[in-house]
Amino acid sequence: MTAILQVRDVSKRFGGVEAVKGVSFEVERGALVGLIGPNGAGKTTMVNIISAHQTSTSGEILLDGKPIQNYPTFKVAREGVSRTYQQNRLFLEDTVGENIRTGLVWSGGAHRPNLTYPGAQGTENQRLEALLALFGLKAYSDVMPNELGHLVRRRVEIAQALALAPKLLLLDEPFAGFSREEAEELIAILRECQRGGLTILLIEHNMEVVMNICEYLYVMHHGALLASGKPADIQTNEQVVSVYLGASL
Amino acid sequence: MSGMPTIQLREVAAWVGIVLVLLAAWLFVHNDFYLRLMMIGAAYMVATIPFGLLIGHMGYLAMGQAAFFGLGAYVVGNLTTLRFEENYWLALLAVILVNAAVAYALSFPLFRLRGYHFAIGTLGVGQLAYLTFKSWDWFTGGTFGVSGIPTPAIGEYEFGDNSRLFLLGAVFLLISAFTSWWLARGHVGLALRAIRQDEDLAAARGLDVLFYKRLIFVYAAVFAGIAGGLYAPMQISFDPSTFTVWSSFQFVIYVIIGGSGTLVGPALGVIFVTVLQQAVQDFGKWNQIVFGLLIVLCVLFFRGGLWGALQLLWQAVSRRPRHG
Repeated sequence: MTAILQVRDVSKRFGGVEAVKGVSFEVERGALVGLIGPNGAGKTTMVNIISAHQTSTSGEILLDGKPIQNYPTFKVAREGVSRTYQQNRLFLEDTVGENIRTGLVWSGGAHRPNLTYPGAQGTENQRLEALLALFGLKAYSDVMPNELGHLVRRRVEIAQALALAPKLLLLDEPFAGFSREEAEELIAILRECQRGGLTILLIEHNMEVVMNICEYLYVMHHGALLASGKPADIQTNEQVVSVYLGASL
Repeated sequence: MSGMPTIQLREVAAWVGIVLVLLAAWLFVHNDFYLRLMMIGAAYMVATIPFGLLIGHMGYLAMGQAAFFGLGAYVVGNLTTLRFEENYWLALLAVILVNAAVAYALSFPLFRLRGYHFAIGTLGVGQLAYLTFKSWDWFTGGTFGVSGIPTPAIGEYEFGDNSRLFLLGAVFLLISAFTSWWLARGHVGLALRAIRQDEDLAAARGLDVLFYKRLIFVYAAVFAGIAGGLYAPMQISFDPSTFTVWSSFQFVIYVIIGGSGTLVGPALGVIFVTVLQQAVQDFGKWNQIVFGLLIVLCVLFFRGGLWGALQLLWQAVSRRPRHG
C-alpha cells in the first residue's frame, strides 16, 4: 500500500500558542485511520490545515505525493480531500437534495475511475440518487435542514462531503451524540465507502468506535504526536492511557 | 442546482411586461418633470440592480458604490468635455474598462475582509474616491465639476431631451436587469447564495469563492460606472457633492427598502425613494427628518423590503376564500 496523505513536520502557531508542533504522519490509501487525543490536542487544527481551512506555519502536506499546503480550500477539495465539521454545517436555506448537489456541481466534475463507492461514478443525477439511497435520505430530499434531527443532519453532511467523490474523507467527530445502533449504521456506510476505494481519517472521542473500526491510530497531545500504532497497541501504551485513554476506556 | 434552469413561460411574460411598461412610460409620459425623475431613476436602477447581487444575494455590504458611479461620470466628463473631445460611446466603453480595472484591483485588498470589516473597507474607498474627485482637478475639474457634456447621439438621432434620455436609460436598464437575472438564476446565483450562507463550507465543497466574489464586485462596479456615464449627460453639470458617502448609503437604502436578495426589490427601492424624496419636499426644512423617519418605519415593518411586503400581500389575497 502507498501513502495517499503525508503530513511532514507541520506546525501551527496562533500568536504565542503553538497549537500543532512539528507533527508528521502518513495515511495509507484505502485505510481507515484514527486521529485521537484529548480536547485541545490539536486534532481539529490538523484537519483544518490538511483541508486548507487554515495555513500551517511550517511543514508540508502531500496528497498522492503532490504538495498541497499552499493550495486554496476549493482546490484542495477538487484535488480529492473532503471533510465534515465538529459542529454540523449545512446550507440552511437549501434543501437536503440541493445541499448534496453542491458538492457534485462545484467539484469540477471530478472523475476518479478507481473509486467505486456509491455516488462516486455516473451522471450528476445518478450520483445524487446513489448518495440519497446510501444514507437513507430519499424521503428527506426536499426537506430543509432545520426541520431535521441531529442524526439525519449528520448524515446529510457526510453525503454532501462524499458528493465531491473524494479520495480522502476527513471526519471530525461524526459519531458525537449517536447511540450504539446509530453508530453501527454509520459504520456500515463508512465500511462500504472504504471498500469502494475511499480513504478515511477519523477524529473521534467514542473509543469503542475508534478501536473497532480504525486500522491504525495516531494520538496527539498538546499539539504534538504522542504515539502511533494499531488499536491494540495504543490501548496498552502507558503514555496514551495516562494522558487520554485512562478516562475513556 | 444542475445547470442553467430552463426558462419558464411566466419569466418570458414578465420580461415582455417590463419592456411594455418602459415603452408605455416613454410613449405616454410627456410631463418634463416626471420624465426627468424617470430618466435619473433609470440611471440609478442600472447601478442598483447589479449592486443588489453584491449585497443581497452574496451578502457583502459595500458602502462605497458612489465611487464607481462617480468614476463612470467623470471618465465620460473627462473624455468628452473636460480634457478631450472624444465620442460619447467611446467614453462609455472606456468607463467599462476603467471601472472593471479599478474594481478588480480593489478586490484584492477588499476581499481579504469580511462582514463589518468589508463594509468599513468599502466605506473607506467611497470616502477616498470622493476626496480624489474633489482634489484631482485634471481628471474631475475639482469642486467646480464638469458641465456641458455633449448630447449622446446614434447617427442623426440625438438623445437631446429628457424623453430621449429616459429611452437611453431604459435600454441600459434592460441590459442591467437582464444580465443580473441571467446571472442570478444559474450557477452564479447558487454560488452567491452559498457564499452568503457559509463561504468556508462552499469552498470546502469545491467552490472558487474568491472568483465569484470578484466577478460580482467587478460586475456591480462596471454597471455603477455605466450608470454614472448615463447620469453625466442627463445633468447640466455635476461635481463631487453628487458622489459623497451619503450617495453610497443611498444605493444601500434602495436595495434594503426594495427587498434585498431579489432582482425586482432594488428597482422598486429606487422608485419608492425617488417618489418619497419628492413627496417630503412639502415639509420644508424638516423634509430630511421626515424622509429618514419613513425609511426607518419601512425597515421596521417590511423586513423583506417592499417587494417582500407585496409578495406577502399577494399571498394573503390569493389565499382568501372566494364567495359567490
